[in-house]
Amino acid sequence: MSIEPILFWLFAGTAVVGGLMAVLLPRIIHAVFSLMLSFVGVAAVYAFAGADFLAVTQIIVYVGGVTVMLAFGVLLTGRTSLDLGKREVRNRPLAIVIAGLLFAGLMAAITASQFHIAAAPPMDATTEGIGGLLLGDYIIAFEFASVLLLAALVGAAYLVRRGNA
Amino acid sequence: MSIGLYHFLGLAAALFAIGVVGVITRRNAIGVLIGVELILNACNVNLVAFSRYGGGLDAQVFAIFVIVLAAAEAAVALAIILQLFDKKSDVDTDRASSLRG
Repeated sequence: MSIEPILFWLFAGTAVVGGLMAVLLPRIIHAVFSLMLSFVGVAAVYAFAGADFLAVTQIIVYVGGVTVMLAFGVLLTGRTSLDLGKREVRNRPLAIVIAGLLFAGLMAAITASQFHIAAAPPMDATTEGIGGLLLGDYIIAFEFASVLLLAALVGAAYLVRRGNA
Repeated sequence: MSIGLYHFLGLAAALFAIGVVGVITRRNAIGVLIGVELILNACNVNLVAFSRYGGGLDAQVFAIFVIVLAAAEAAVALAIILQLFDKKSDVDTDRASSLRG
């Protein structure tokens, strides 16, 4: 038995267990750090699939950026009614039924589909190719993404002004 | 059994379903945001899987744009949540009901 399946299930298990903890743990700060674990697992899956640049981007942007921002958000909104004995979750049985049906439906669709799978090519560094595409075929989308980030930055800074109407 | 495209798609479906549970069940607005991030990650896993099995690098470029959108969305959503906390001293999504008709 090769090591490949073991690694995949280890990484996928990390992602799924982290995700489950992120949605099921009652305290929100625990959920944020579980989400960090899930993101690390997903980054490992990217690396497993040969997407080295995306794996590093995932670590930098999600693990280093988004979860830290979420943790700041939790700390800045501390001591809410949700901490004072009120139940944090609602509709859990309903949600689990809906998600179970969704997952079953997706798996049925996936297993019923015939994809034209090419033989996985040997893994190669992707950074050069992605850079070429970003500044070549996708230069317009790339520039729009930068404008979007600027707009989000200005919008977020405007929204959090104190005394804002 | 070697790992193939379907394993990645199954992982993505699982992450998506988990994210949906988070979006539906959390009262805390930040918890809802966590669910949304999980859903976006599920989408990226699919893109990377199809990139590996015949899609080429374009799928990974698309995944980068998804990451950019997720980061921008998280920043704006957190700004809104902080403003909500400022107004109502709470981040309970059930209490943010001023806009109902």
